[in-house]
Amino acid sequence: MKLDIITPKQIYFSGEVTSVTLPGTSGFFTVWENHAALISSLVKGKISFSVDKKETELNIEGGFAEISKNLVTVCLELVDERA
Amino acid sequence: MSTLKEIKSRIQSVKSTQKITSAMKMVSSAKLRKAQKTIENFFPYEQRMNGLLSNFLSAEESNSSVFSEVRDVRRVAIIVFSSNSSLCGGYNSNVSKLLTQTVEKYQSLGREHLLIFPVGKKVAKASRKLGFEPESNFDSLADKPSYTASVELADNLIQMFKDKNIDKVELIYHHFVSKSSQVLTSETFLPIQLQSAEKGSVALDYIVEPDRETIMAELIPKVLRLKIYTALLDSNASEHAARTMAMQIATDNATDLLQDLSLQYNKSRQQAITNELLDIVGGSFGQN
Repeated sequence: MKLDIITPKQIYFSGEVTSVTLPGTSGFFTVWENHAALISSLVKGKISFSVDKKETELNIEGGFAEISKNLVTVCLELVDERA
Repeated sequence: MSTLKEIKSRIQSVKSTQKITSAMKMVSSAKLRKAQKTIENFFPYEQRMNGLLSNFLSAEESNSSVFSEVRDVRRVAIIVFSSNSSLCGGYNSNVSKLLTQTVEKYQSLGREHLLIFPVGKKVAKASRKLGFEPESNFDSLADKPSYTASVELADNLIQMFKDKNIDKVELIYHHFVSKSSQVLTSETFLPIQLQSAEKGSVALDYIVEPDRETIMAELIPKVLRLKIYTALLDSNASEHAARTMAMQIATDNATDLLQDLSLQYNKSRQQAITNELLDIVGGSFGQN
């Protein structure tokens, strides 16, 4: 499954991941391989994704996630680098 | 004919001017590269967001939103983008000209119903000349286009539109095409025109969380913010491109001028020598 994290400043992350956890407006949800097509708005919270069992976390201020055909696109306005 | 000394000092002054213009050219072409890089980095985000919106709209039957509502135009806001400094050819004067035309177009609404948001010192000055006090000071935005600052401007306008303080928002900015071509564009920012994706493109059956209305309500302001930022980046790149070209032309002109001047200098030096020789020869003939 491919994950793209895109911000106005740069493509923050792009690559293969095993799973992504996103802070959706109606609650946290985790996306695995072959997830159904989905559009969700995101709220302030934490994104975490794992690459080869290595977990990476990221604080966000809200944004959008689009999931289609094993491609997860996350559009964020601001990324907290300290996370 | 000017004396040797005069020509020499002119050559000196042209040379130093040329040095300045070529240095300015270097600086602005470096800045242009940086601005282009920012646009490049921003492009994927813009594309995805617009893709998301049009994808979304194609699935929707009725595309209506607070922001697409066309009302009777009573109060208009104009956002104009220019630069803080001059020496960039016709860049700022073109913006001012279009601003004047736009203001004339809305003359019938009355001056007090026109709001101008000038980004950049030059156009702020121009709008004062037209008799409009700028709504706020956005000079720093023209210098360093930052996303956060442009979001502030966009949110301000979005709020005003929502509160029905203004019925229409126009954007005036330079669209960067290439180093040698920047197109002055005038666009309607609000009400937004919602265009769905072309028919035939595969409309995926999305699950939408939490619901369509919430997403629309969040997505559209984001797209609007991004539009302002795009315009800002575009006009910033255009400014540097225009300045690079202007300075290039100035440097070339200085080179031409130097060529003429040094030809003139050599000619008059030769003439002076010939005259001296004639004097000497004439003198020696006289003695014989």
